[in-house]
Amino acid sequence: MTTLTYRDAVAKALQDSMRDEPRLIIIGQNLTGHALKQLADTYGAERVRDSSISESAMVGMAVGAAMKGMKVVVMIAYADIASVCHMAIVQSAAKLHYLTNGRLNCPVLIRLPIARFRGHGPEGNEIAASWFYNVPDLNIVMPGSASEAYWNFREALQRPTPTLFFEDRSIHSRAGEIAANNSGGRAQITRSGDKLTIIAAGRTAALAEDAADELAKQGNRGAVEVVSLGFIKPLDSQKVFQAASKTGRVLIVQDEPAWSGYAPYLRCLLDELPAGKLAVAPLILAGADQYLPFYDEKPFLPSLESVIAAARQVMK
Amino acid sequence: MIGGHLAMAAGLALAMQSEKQSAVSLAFFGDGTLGSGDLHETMHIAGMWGLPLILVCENNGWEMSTPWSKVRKTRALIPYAEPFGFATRNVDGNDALDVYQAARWARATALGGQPVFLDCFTFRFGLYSSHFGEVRPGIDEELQEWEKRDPLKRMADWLIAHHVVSADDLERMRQEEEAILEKTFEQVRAEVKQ
Repeated sequence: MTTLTYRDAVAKALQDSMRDEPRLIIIGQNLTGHALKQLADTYGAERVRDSSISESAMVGMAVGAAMKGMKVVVMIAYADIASVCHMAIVQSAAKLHYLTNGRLNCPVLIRLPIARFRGHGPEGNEIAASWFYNVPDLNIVMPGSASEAYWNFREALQRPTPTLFFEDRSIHSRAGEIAANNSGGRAQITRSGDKLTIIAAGRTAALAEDAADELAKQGNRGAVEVVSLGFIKPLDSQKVFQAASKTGRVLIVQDEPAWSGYAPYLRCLLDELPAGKLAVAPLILAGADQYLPFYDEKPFLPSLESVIAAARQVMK
Repeated sequence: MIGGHLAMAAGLALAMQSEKQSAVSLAFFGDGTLGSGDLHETMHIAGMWGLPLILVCENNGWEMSTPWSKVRKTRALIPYAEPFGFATRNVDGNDALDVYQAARWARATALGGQPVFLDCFTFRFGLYSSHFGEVRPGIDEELQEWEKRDPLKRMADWLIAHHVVSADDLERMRQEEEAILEKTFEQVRAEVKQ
């Protein structure tokens, strides 16, 4: 089986999609001369397009092309810029399928790389996923591994409604085995354990795996089960309930502040478990309720140390 | 959303161009849409990519109850479209034949690789929307002037003058249409009641 870095997995997903989907086009900046030069040379200027920095029109146009049966990948410079094209995402893309009574699909994938630990400053280092969490019909992906990065990308382009694809730049070098098959966007159990279940997505899922490994070294071998969501919307609630019931103790980790997003949603969801299934109330470890400064984002986000500390607390 | 739909129209044109179809994409909007960023972004990209796109502005000079002079510098929208690389034409929006000719020219131009902006001057007699019920005081003279240029009346006069139909024919057709509309309305109302 192939082992790829997270970065290469996304690139391969894009390449394989261009190969397998003849009606797929890509819109972004600096593509033909730089970022996707090989794809541009292979598939031509009709399918790999450089546009001006006009995110609202880029997304709106992707929707229009989808109305004519095409699939589109829109490359936005970073996740924070999702707010610039909020209208196009919600009013044009997300609502298309519903407004046309299901007659028109919108297989549009909007790449929104999270610029984590890159010194972009407050107007550039946001995640933005939770800002769109309550929008119906919108798929939201936060891949936590190379395999998720590859398969969730490919899965998204098969869906009739659009997808926000939040890859995290800070785990771009993280290598992993690419699964043999598409799991259809289901959550992945990336570590098996019987004392604590950590549920997370994206960078925090990778952190959770590292925490599980570190705790194993420190004498808690086989203790921590990690559920990596991949698709945070729609969410694999079945796997969540299974994994939570298995250990009876849950820690949910998310990088964004806890006012919204998959963490508070999961805590509500877990309330549906019969009384006594969980030994303690699920704990949320989230990002600080503030913007992240240019000089150092780390103190305001979950870290390996804080995840381990939270894990120990729930296991007490 | 108004404005957002223009980007979608450009997307249709993008699909047509990418797949080398002999087709054009056309979208309507009012002159108030000049305020939408999406109009400018769409023209910006469509102009550079030479998309087979035709933008048709129903330029009636009013944003609800606000006259154009309060919200922009020129009555015409062409000066805003031309810099983006659009072929432009000012059209008498109340002359069906002028609109027809402009549309034919627009289609040929767009298929030839340049998007088109048709700035169709017209006027609004009634409300922008019954929903808002806004008023425009002091426009009686304007209304009178534009009534003389009522597009339906002009078309009828032209057809009669060119012996395509008689006045009686037109009246009969009008009544038949109205009867069809009434009947359909009653049918739908009956269905909805069920």
